[in-house]
Amino acid sequence: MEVDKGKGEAEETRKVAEADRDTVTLKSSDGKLFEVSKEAAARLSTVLAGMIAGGSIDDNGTDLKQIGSEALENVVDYCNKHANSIPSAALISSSISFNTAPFKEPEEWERKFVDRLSHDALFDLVEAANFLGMERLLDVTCHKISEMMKGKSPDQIREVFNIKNDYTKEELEEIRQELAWAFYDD
Amino acid sequence: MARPPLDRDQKQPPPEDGNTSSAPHLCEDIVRAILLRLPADEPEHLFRAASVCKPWLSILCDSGFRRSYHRFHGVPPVLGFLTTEPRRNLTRFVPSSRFTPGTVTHEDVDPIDARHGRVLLHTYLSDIREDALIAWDPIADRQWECDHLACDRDSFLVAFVGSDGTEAVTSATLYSSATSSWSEFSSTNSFAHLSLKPATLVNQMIFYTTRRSLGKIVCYDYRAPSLRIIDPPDKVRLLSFRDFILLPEDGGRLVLVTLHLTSLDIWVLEIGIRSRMTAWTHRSNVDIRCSALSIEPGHSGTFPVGSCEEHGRIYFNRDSHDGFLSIHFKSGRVSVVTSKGEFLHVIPFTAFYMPTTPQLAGTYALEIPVCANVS
Repeated sequence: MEVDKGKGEAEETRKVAEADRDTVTLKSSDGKLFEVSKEAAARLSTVLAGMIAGGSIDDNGTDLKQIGSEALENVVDYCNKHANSIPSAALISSSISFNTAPFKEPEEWERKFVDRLSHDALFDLVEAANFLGMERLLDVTCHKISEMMKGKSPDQIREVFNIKNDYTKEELEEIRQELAWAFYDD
Repeated sequence: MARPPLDRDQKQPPPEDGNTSSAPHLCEDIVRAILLRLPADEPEHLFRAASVCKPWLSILCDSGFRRSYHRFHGVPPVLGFLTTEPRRNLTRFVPSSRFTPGTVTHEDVDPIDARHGRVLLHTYLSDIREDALIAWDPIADRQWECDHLACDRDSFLVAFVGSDGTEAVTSATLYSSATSSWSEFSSTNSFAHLSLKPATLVNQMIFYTTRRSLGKIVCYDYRAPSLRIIDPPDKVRLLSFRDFILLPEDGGRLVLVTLHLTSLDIWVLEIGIRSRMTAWTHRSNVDIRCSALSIEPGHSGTFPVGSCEEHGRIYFNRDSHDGFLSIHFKSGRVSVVTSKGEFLHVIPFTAFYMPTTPQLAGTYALEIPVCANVS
C-alpha cells in the first residue's frame, strides 16, 4: 500500500508538472517535434482539447501519425498566430468548446496565412485541420480552395483536385449544351 | 442516390498522362465543405463543379447538401427578373447576376409566377393549341407544356381563376391530382380583370389582384369552395391610385403594401380558419430613403410592379422609362435594379440551389406551385 501511495504521489506530481506547462509537444508522421501553446491548441482543436483533458498528451511528443511535418508546422503556426491575434480578455473568457457560429469571412491575417501556401501544402493543411477538428482553420482553408475554383473550367478544376473525369464525352457534351451559360470562358 | 466514396482509403487509380498534380484526394467531408462555400450569387460555379465528376454531382444533388447550402448562404439570391414589355407580347429575362438563360425572350406569353427554379408561362398562341401553360426551367433552358398531369410524385392542386367580360362573371375551379378531376366552378357575379401579379397563398386561400383600373382583390377559398371579391382599405383606394402589392406572412396574415407620398403604407388582414377574415388593420408607415433617387412617390407614374416575399422586397417602376427600383419594405432601403426601360410587371427569379442536369442526375420532379391565374 505504501508503494502504491508513493506511485500515486509521483503520478500526481507528474500530472501537476504537466498541467503547469503552457505548451504541448506534437510529433509529425516523419518524427519532427513542434511546440504549441496549450491554451490555443485546446481552444482551436477539438481533438487536441480532448487529448489534453484526457491526459493523453505525451511530454516527449504526442504522435500525430496522419500529419506530415510541413502541415503540422502550419497547424502550429496557425495556433500560435491565432493566440496572438485575440485580445487577452477574450482569451481569459474563452473555453475549449468550439465556436459554432456561422461562417465569418477570413480575417486579413488568415487570408495571408493561406495565400502564401503552395497548392499541395494547402491541401495537406485542410486534411490536417479536418483530422484535428479545427473548425475555424477548416473554414478558412476550404474558403480558400473554393475561391481557387472560381473562373476555372471543369478540366482545370479536375487538375487542381487531381480527379479523373468519369463522364463520357457524350455526357459532357450534353451538360455543356444544357448549361451553356455556366461554361463560357471568363 | 448512393454517394460514391472519395475517401483516401479508396484512392482512385493514379492519374493518367497530362495530370501532374500530386494533391491528395480529399475525403468527401472536405469536398462537401469546399463546395458548400461556392458563392450562391454566382450559380455557374455549382454547375461547373457538377460536371467535374460523378461523385461531385451526387454530393451536389444530395438533398442534405442542398439544405446545408441553404443554411450556409441564407435565402437564395434573385438571379434576374421576368418582365413583360408594354405594348409587345414579349416576356424578357432581365439578369441581375451572371446567369443568363439560353432563351432570353419568349414571344406571345405572359409570365404567371416563378418558384422553385421554375417559371410558369401562359402562352396564347402556341403551335399546339390556342391557350397553354408552359413550365420553363431557365437554368437548364428546358420547357414543358404543362398539363400538370405528370408534375410530381406527390399529389398537387392547381387553381384556375378567370373572368369573362361579356358575361360579367368571375369563376374558379380546382384540379386535384389525387382524383384527377376539376372541381365544380365557384363563381361570383362581377367582372374582375386579373392583373399579371402572381397569386398569394395564405391559409389555403388564394388572393389575386385585379388590374389597376378596378383595384380589387379576388379571394378563392378552394377548400370551401367559395369565391369572392373584396376591397383594399378605403385609404388605399382613395390615396394610392389603387396600386398595391400583396404578400403572405407567417401566422396566416395577408400583407398589403402601397406607396403613399414618401412612405410605404402597410396593412394587414388576418385570415382565420374557415377563411374568416378580420377587417384591414393599419400596421405601419415606412419612410423611404430615396433622397438620391428621382422617385416621385405618390405620382401616378410610379406604382408597384412586383415583389419578392423571401427577400421582403417590393419593386416599383420609375417614370419616363427609367427602369425599376427595389425597396426593402421593412427598412425602406432603396436600390436601383435597372435604370433603363419601361416595366409594368416584374417577377423575380431566385436560384433554387439545385443543379438541374436532368439527363445525368435522374429526372427531377417538376415542382410548380399550385396557383395558376389566367385571365
